[in-house]
Amino acid sequence: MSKNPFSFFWADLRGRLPYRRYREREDRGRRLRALFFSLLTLILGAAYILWAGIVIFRDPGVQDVLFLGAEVLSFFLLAVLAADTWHLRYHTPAGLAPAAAYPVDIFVPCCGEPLEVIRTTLQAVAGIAYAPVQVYVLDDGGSPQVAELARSLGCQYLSRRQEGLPLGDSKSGNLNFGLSRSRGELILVLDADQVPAPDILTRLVGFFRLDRLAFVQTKQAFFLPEGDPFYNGDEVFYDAVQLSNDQANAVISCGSGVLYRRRALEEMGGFTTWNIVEDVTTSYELLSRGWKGIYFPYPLSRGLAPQTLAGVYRQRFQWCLDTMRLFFWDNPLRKPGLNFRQRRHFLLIMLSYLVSGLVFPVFCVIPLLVYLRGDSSLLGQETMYWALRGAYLAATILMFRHLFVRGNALKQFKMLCCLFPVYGAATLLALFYPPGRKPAYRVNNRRPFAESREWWCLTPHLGVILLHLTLPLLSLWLGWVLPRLIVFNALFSAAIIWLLADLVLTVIAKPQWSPVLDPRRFYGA
Amino acid sequence: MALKRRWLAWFLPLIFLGLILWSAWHRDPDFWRSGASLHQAARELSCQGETLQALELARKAWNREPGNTRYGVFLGWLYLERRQPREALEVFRRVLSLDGRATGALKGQAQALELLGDRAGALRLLEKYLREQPRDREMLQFAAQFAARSAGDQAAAIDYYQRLYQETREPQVRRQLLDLLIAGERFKEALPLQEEEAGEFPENQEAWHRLALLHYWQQDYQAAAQIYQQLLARGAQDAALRREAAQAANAAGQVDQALSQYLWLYGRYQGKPEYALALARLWSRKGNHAETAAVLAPLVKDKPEPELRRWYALELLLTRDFAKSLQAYEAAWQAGDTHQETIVNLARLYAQKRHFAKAAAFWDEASRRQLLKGDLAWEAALTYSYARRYGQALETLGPLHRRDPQNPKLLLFMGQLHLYQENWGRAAHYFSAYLKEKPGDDAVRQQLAEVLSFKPETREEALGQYAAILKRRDDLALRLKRIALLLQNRRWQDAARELKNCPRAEEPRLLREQARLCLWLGDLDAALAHFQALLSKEPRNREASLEMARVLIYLGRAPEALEVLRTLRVGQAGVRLDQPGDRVLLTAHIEAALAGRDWPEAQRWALRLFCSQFPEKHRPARDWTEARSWLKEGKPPAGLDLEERTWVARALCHHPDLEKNGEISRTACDLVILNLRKNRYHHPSLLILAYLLPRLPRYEDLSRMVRRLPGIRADSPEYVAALAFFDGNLGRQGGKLDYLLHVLQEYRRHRWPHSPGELLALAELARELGDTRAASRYLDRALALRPGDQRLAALKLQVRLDRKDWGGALKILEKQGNDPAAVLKAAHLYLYRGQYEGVKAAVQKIPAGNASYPQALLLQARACRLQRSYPEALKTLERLSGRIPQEELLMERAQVLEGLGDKQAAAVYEEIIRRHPESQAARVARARRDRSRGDWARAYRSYAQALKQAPQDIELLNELEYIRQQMRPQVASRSFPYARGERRPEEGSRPWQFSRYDREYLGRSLASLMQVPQEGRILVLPEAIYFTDSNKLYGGIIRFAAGFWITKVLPVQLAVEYREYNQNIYSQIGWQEKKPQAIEQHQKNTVSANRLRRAEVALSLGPLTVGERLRLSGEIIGRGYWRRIDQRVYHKWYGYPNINPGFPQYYGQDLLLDFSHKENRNRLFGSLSLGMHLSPRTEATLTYSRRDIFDQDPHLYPRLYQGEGVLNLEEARITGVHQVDLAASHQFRPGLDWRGSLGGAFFSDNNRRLTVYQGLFWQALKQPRMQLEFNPHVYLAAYRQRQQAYFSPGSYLAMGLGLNFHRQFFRLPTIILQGTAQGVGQHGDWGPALHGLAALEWEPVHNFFFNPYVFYFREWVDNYRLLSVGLSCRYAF
Repeated sequence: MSKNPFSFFWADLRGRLPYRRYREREDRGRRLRALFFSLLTLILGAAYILWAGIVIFRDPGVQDVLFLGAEVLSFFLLAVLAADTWHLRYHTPAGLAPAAAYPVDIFVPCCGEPLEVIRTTLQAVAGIAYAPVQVYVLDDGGSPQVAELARSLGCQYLSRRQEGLPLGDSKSGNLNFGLSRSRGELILVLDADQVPAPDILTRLVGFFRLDRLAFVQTKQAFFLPEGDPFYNGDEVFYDAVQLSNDQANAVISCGSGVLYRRRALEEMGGFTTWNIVEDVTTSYELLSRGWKGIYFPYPLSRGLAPQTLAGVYRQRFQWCLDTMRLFFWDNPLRKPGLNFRQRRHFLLIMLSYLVSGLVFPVFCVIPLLVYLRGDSSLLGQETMYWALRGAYLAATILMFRHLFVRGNALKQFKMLCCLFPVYGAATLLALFYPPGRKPAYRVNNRRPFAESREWWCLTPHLGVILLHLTLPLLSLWLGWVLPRLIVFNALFSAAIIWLLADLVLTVIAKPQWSPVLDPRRFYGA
Repeated sequence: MALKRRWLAWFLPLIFLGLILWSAWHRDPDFWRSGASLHQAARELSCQGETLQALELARKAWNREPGNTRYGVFLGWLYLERRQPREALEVFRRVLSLDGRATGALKGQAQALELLGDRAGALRLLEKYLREQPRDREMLQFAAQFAARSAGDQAAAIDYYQRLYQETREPQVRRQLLDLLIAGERFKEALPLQEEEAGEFPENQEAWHRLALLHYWQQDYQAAAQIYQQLLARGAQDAALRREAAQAANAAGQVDQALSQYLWLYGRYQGKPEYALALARLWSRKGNHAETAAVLAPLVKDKPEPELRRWYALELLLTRDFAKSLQAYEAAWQAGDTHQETIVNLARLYAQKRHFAKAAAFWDEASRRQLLKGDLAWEAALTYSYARRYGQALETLGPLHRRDPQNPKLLLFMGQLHLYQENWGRAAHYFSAYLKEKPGDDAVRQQLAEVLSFKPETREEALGQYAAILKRRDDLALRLKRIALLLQNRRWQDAARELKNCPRAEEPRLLREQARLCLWLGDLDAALAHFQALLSKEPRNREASLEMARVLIYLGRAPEALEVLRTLRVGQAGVRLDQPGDRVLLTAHIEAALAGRDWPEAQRWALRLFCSQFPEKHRPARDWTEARSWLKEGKPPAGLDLEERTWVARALCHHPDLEKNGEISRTACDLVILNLRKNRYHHPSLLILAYLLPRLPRYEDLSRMVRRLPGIRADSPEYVAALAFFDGNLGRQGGKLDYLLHVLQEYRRHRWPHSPGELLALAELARELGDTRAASRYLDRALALRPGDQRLAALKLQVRLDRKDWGGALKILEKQGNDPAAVLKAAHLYLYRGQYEGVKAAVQKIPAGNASYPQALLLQARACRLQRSYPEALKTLERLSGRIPQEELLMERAQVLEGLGDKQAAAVYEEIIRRHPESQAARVARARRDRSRGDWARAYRSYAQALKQAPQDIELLNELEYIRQQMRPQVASRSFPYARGERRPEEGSRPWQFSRYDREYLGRSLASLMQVPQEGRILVLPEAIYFTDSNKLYGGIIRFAAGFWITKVLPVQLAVEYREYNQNIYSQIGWQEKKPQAIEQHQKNTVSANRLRRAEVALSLGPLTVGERLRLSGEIIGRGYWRRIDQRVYHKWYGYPNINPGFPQYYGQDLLLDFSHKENRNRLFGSLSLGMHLSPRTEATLTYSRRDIFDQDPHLYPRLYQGEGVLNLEEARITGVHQVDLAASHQFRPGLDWRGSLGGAFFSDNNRRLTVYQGLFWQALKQPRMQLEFNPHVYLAAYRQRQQAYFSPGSYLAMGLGLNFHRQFFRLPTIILQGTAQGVGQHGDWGPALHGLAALEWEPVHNFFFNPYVFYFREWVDNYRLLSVGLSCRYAF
């Protein structure tokens, strides 16, 4: 198969590809449409940016230059996204038939999670239908109850605390500790709240027939309220981005529900420890060393997701900080051992954080600057602007629609925008934490069922909404700026309000749990 | 809910965008258009002539793109087109600042500057540009044309054309340049150019002709004549050319050549006048007058010019033919020739013929034309003197006098001439000048004094002249003359002194004069003495007797005056002894009767005086109607004089039927109008008319007055405008009346009487007619003339008090020092004025032992009470104990207690009633007692009874007004039933100005209620409430209410209300079943949408007072309910494998069921309440009511009047409640009350409830505009059964502290804050509860209140909260 997307597109369009892989032929229609709209979006976007650049550089103002910069960066992200995600790779739900009975070690790291949660997980782990398997409960909390529970369920209990070992490197240190005390050829890592399906190993182990395969990452599922208000399900990532990563051998390990090959880890010296959590960095390292990773796009475990905005902030902040530390201090463009497509795929995640954290605030600020300062290079060119930007936007929407067939791209986009304070802070903070100096790791699910409304989290959003509601009216009434310019920018303001209001309303509303997915019942809380 | 949230997220930006769009459109409807589009549209509109719209669009285009100079230039020229140069200039300047070479803007700027009148600036601007760009032909052309437009800038224009000509060398430019040079008379510069033109085009006759003209204009006549000769050689028959050649020759002094040319022309055109005149001039120049006259004679025959006639006459004169010359001058004069030569020569000729009148007439003409100079003036003066026209003579002699001012003969002659003309000042001047020359001439000096006394400003000099004569010889007549002059000059003090020093005259004539002078001076006693002396000498002097009688009348000794008058009746021929015969006596009788305030007697004499006009009638008229009928029959009567008419009218003013009988008022008006026609500044008549006008019975009489009153030009524009002004204020009738009164007042203001005696009489008249304001003014004037007169001062104080001019009265009292009586009076006045500190200060001045001290202390107590300083008032009253009557003390004490809010006040009032049950004090106490109890209807009746005894008691009237104000029907909202804060302070102190009985809408009787629909003034006061609670119950209430009183006894309120409740509930019931492989779970999910609508009509009556202690009130309510429940039920089964509960298996066996339930009900509810006063401080109320569960117990959510107690709408049934409540309250001291209630309720679903409430109310802060109240309380509700559907816990115990605060900022809405913090015990648990209400009370229109508010309730035990937002209105009629 050609690596050139254009020749691939041409061949695919004519139906001349061999279509050997699972669902490759079935996905052809979507793929072609996605590729077509991606190309269209890029062409229209380029035309728009070229035009805007010419107009702005005739009479550049501060806000115009900022605006152009933000648009260029967004376009760049779109370009990377379009180039990366149109081609997806699927696997059969049953997996491959195992070539041999690999001995598997199951690591359940925990550190102070509620006993009920651990019990539920361990009970499910005990129900996994595979042999030979050995379960290790890696308890950094050193809890006797957990130890008792583990022993009662036939699991091996290991605790650095009880053995008097230092608790460095948090989860990755704990996993490395487990690695040193176990012998299994394959290692399944499950978070303490992740309840596995009984057939998890029977469906995954078969992939290790492939010699250079380092890990298989399964799709993650969560106990979520109705409507998934914080988009913890993240279908765009799990149903599109990871599939495309699989296509480019750039699968990212999510740290749980992942089956590693011991040999690959040992070649690397264990799980990587320089970043805060081990998952992304370990898979990044493994792939850069020529190993392969596979994404198995079916959920084989289900766990807890943060239910409050503060929890979401904490979790995403950690992810973003991890990723941006990689971006700043171990950038995929400079990472030896990666091919171009892998570099691009890793870059995509980083760029998305960058755009959310830095570019979205710029988009928020620009209309406000216009209301205050009143000059814009685009004044008088509104019709042209709307024609070009409208076409570009329409093409983008169509592109997303076909790129992310299963995920709710709009919701993902909104979440990306709404989390701008977190991503912005994490991006800036990553600059101050080079390798060798890392911030503390915080366990997410210590109090998974605590309900609190943390209104302070919404302060930036409410502030931005208030400014966008009041400034244009003020500017209009006091005659600071031409009405035409205000109306023009008010469309942006309306869009920003629309984007941010969703999160505010989500926080206001009490989450509704369907009885099926209510974690309290399952974890016995 | 998720769906709604999503919609909200969509709606917010859309509403925001809509608001922005609307605001932008509102600000600028063209905001969406670009600069280019606006500019194009502006150009098109400008082409269509719609410059205004074009200007607007061009301005917007320029604003859109301020850097586009093209738009700017276009906008600027549009401004110029609209004649708005200032704006244009601004625009052009901005354009030029952007592009300095924009010639369009430069031109426009020059134009704008020209329009602004700064043409010099425009030229400077162009000059500056052309200095920088000297070869710019376009701008040179523009600048030249621009400069050429003004005659003043011809030089600049020439300069620009010269520069342009140098650039272009075009003949057209040269032509324009030449025209300008010629117009500017710059012939020297024009000549070479013209020569250049002539040289360029030698065959061009026109060019040569212009060259000749240029030579001629440059006075180079020789050269011009030469060119003309050359031109004539080419065209000898050209008459015009020959005429110009003749003029040139004439100018060059070539008379013969000119004569030959003119003779050719004269012959050619057969004596054409133009050439004849030129020829005549040439003959005259050569001295040949006969030839001249011969040439002129034919011209004179045919309507010649005046100059020609005069010339002809002069030529005849030169030929010495005088008769013909005179004829020619006369003909010239008759033809309208007014030349000096004609007039003077004619005057001389008539004077020569001794026709002085005619001659004087011609001198008049000469004088009018200011021709009388030098010797002509002497000639004219002489002629005038012969014609006996002294004024003209004086005028003509003026210049001579100026030349020789010391000539005595001339001075005396001129003085005499002035005297004949009554020019007193000038006569005095010439006499004075004469006396300087001859000072010993006494006759001339007396003449001078008399002359001087004629003018007010020279009376002082006249007095000096009299004094100079009196130095030489003492003469009593002269002294009296001098005193009269002093009085005339208003030197009252000097006159009084002189008169005192004057010996009593022996001669009756002088004695009478002396008496009159005393009367004039206002010294009535002296006048009386003089008259008595005179009468002792001449007892039969009738006039003196009459005058003495008048003096007696003025002195207020009317009976003595009548005695004197009676003596005068005796002995008159043909008159009965009891009847006065002559009018003077009749008048005096009227005066005497009026002075004695015997109005019928005065009217009798007035009728008799009036009938004296009809001597042919053998008897006086029976009444005024008959007397007036006599006026209409036969010949007009002889009539009364001014004074007589005044007295008759004055007497008529007091006629009892004045306002009923139009004949009387019309007669009086006729009389005074006649007076005003004689003297429109006759003050007595003006005062009387001002009294009569408002009492005229018909509007037509008033209209007639407008036409009859002198000085009003009815239907003139001024009159219409003035009347329109007054009409605008008061309507047609009131306006006209006000206008007339205003005119009369203006007349009085125009000319004041000057003598104190007259002013006093006028003040008396004004007081008699009730015009205290005018009386006060007259007295002020009189007092200014005689400052030390105590009688006047006392009168003035009385008038001030009559007028309620407390300030003025206080000033007078202050001058009287520390006299206790005066100080007490002053304290009274301070109390009237609301200056309570002033009262206290005045009381301090009275010594404690003084008899008026207790009264002063009582005043001080009242002041303290009115100042709301109640403790101080009580302290003052303690000092008064035993010093004033007990009733007064008790009354004051009770009022203080009432003000303090102490319910004991009623007991004190009762004490007064008990002591003297039938006295007025008891009636007042009864009224005040009812008022203190808040029983307005009874208080109203009691006040009415008290006022029957004292109808003028202003304090009682005020209190009654307060009661009326309280009884104003009020349509109140449920949430805010009464007004907080204080009304405007002036309304509090003077309620009668703001609430009039006849303005009280619906407050009169039930009968007036019937008129409501006809008047179209049905008032509805909507209030709307939205609430939502944590049980997902939400809804709204809309209410309309109206209120009124029935016969001032029973207040009624009528209300219509609509409510809607909604509750959407999701419920889930599940159970599990254990099986070997899995746990099966069954779920039943129910979604129910419940809605209840309720409408009611409520009529509430009361409270109605029965007896003195009982109060009844009731309410009847009809309600309709419409209830609907929609339910959807579905079942689900799940299986959970034992091994892995995280992955449940969905069995998918769903069952879906839908239910709907509707229910309509009607119910009648109501309540009856009986209240009673157990003691002055204790009240109790027993209430029976029938309600439903939607009516909340007021103690549970004390401020949630719209409260909602239903928790589950699906399960709640329409349940009725019979409830009996016993409530009681007791006041411990003012500001500290206990209130408690005990109630039992019986529900129709067999539930029961017992409620107990105990609360203390402490007013920590009580000010008129601010109040802070704390309320610790405990409330218990115990139910027999727990009903989850409505709020019925087993027991509910709440203990807490409430806070009630309101604050009114001056002229701003009142802020109302209420809050309660409670500890609540419910089914065994305790927890906190909070209520909070924040509201504004805003009164945008008088008596119309808006109350927006937010109420929040939170209870932590059941985690229940409720938020309610509302807007209610209230109106007090």
